[in-house]
Amino acid sequence: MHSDPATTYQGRYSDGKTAQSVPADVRLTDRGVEIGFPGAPQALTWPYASLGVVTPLAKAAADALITYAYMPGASLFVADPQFVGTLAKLAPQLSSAAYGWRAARPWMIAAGCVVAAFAGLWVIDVSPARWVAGMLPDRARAAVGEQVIASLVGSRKECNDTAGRTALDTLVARLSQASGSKTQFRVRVVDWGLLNAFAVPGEQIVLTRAIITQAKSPEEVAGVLSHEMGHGLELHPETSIVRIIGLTAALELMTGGGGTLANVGLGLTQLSYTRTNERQADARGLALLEKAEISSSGLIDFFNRIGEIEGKKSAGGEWNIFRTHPQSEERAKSAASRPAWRTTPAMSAADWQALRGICGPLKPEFSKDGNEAPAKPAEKK
Amino acid sequence: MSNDGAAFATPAAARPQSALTEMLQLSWVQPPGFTALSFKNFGLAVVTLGIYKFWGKTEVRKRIWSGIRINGEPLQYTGTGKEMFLGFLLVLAILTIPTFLVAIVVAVVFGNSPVANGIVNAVLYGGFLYLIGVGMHRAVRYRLSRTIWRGIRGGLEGSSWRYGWAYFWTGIVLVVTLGWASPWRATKLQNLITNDMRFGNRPFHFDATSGPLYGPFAALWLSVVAIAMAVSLSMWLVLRGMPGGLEAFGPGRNPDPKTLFTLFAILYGGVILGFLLFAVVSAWYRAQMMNHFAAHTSFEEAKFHGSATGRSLIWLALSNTLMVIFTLGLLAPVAQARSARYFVERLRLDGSASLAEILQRAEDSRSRGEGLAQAFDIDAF
Repeated sequence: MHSDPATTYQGRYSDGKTAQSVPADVRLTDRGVEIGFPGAPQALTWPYASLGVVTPLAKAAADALITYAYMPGASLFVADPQFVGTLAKLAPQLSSAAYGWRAARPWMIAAGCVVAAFAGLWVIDVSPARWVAGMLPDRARAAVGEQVIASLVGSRKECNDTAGRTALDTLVARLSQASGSKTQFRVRVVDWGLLNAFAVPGEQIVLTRAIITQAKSPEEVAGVLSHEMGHGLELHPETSIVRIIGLTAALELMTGGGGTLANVGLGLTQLSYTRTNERQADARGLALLEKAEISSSGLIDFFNRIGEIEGKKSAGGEWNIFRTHPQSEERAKSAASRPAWRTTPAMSAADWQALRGICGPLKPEFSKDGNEAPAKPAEKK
Repeated sequence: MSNDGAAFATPAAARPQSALTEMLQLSWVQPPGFTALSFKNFGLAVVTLGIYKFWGKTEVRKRIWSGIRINGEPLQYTGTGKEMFLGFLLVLAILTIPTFLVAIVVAVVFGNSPVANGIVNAVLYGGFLYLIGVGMHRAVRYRLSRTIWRGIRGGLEGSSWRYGWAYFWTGIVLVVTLGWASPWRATKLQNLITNDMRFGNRPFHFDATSGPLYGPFAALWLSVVAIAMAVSLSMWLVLRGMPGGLEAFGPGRNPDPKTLFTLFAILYGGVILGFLLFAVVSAWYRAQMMNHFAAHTSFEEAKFHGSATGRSLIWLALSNTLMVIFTLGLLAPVAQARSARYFVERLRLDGSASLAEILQRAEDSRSRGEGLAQAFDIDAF
């Protein structure tokens, strides 16, 4: 595109020393933008290569405000679409197309690096969250665990029948010892009709009343316990919490805060462990059972039964065991494929009776779907 | 576009020799490409995990500023993404991360102790209230120092710590007086900010008193009470008239789902209706306040005149909110441009200024922008 010295545009020129502007006759010459002042013999010429703009020259723009590198503070404003179009061709570096790409390029490179870093981490199977979790002091893990339990359990009461407690403690001690670690797991039973068990940070486990009352044998309880201990030994609860905090912080950064809705969504996606986590917990749990000489049949039966329920009904709360432990049947099969080991009963028949009564005398009315049963069914019509 | 011509219509009068004063005229010229910019900013923010946000926001401001015209000539925004990013990093290092660490340490050391948590929260929220004021002042200062018209910079004098203190203690008064200090507080804070504002070497003036706002405020306050009472009363009446009435919710009862559904429908319906009513009344009050403040703001010989109305303000707020929510924040730049347009078009300048006598002010050397304001999410554009 050639320059167009024949056309004179009306503009306003400011020298940047006072807030006044003066009318200017503007021409686009071969040498640059020529700014003449009515009645004054001298004109300014701003070469195209040294021009600047605050907002790039868009195709649809009706006016342009331009500056000149060698006269800081001075500016020229021309409100004429034809001027903008012609100038964009004479000084292409000012056009929004050139500007947009120039501004975006470093960011595309940065984004590429971020993606590559994530892909690298994934390929070499390093989890930064797991790494941070491993560095947390025991006391911090225990304190976080207490907070998690408090928020999960709410106002439900803890079951502490003395005989039941003793039976459970004996089983927990046996499994803890089998883990070979010095840490003793702390297991609590909560008076809750939801069928679930959670491992929480700091080698702590929460069992619901329904887990104990719906178990057909002490081996089933031992199986569930060993699986949750597996999660605890692998630091899965700690890792998820570190990951949630990290992702929430990243999301805050991304959305600039106020992303409450997004945070809720993020939290929900993080509640369940990955399938790899479950496999690790299974392997650890079975190893514990083997070392403690407890039969894995209970765990297998338990998975099979849950598999049946899953077949009928795939609903359930977010914390429901059906959700967090997918593919129960497949896992039961893989557990059963391990060579058998020497076993002794998980606990005596008397202890089993005591454990079943840990939340008080047994009530017959549990619903199978994990919902809380009505407290006083006798009052119903 | 019609406004552009106005400045050129009287070339003789605008000549430096002949015209020492110039009538001032405010107008808005829609800058092109906000939708495309929205997509670009959103995409880059996602792929850079949010870091681009600061640069994106700067791009949006440059466009919005270029749409604001005084005597047909645009404002320029000269802030940079780097300045905002540095401001963010600074606040992250000295405020966000230490606060986060304190919260974790308190949780670990004191667990769930209500006393310890209460004290920590009181200190944190008190500190935040103070820092919000400081951050607001600094954000205005940053923006004004990066705003240029005809090469002349704006600015904000005064101490942001002093403003933060005024914001803090009047905030306490606001709570103690059950909100009745609101008009007084708003006027006081507006007074502090506006009288500190500069264009070049010349100040803005603000001389409003809060007296005229008390009529509209009383109407707002009383209607809030009336709305709250009406919602609770109607809920109570409906609840009482239901089969089973209030008894259905006694301890140990199991209210039937239909009753529960009706109740929740009324609860949410009442809250939404109450909120809409409140939005209408408060928009009307805010329009009154904006016009009152504008009428008592002046620059040189020019007085501002506001013509905001409750109806137009509520339409703006509602449409912008829906637009931002339904696009998950993607169209936020479009919403911001609409807000800017509203305020510019509802604001008029009556009178003149001796622009040739307004001189450039010293450059604000601070190179970090708005970190605090971003941390508390209080910036409008």
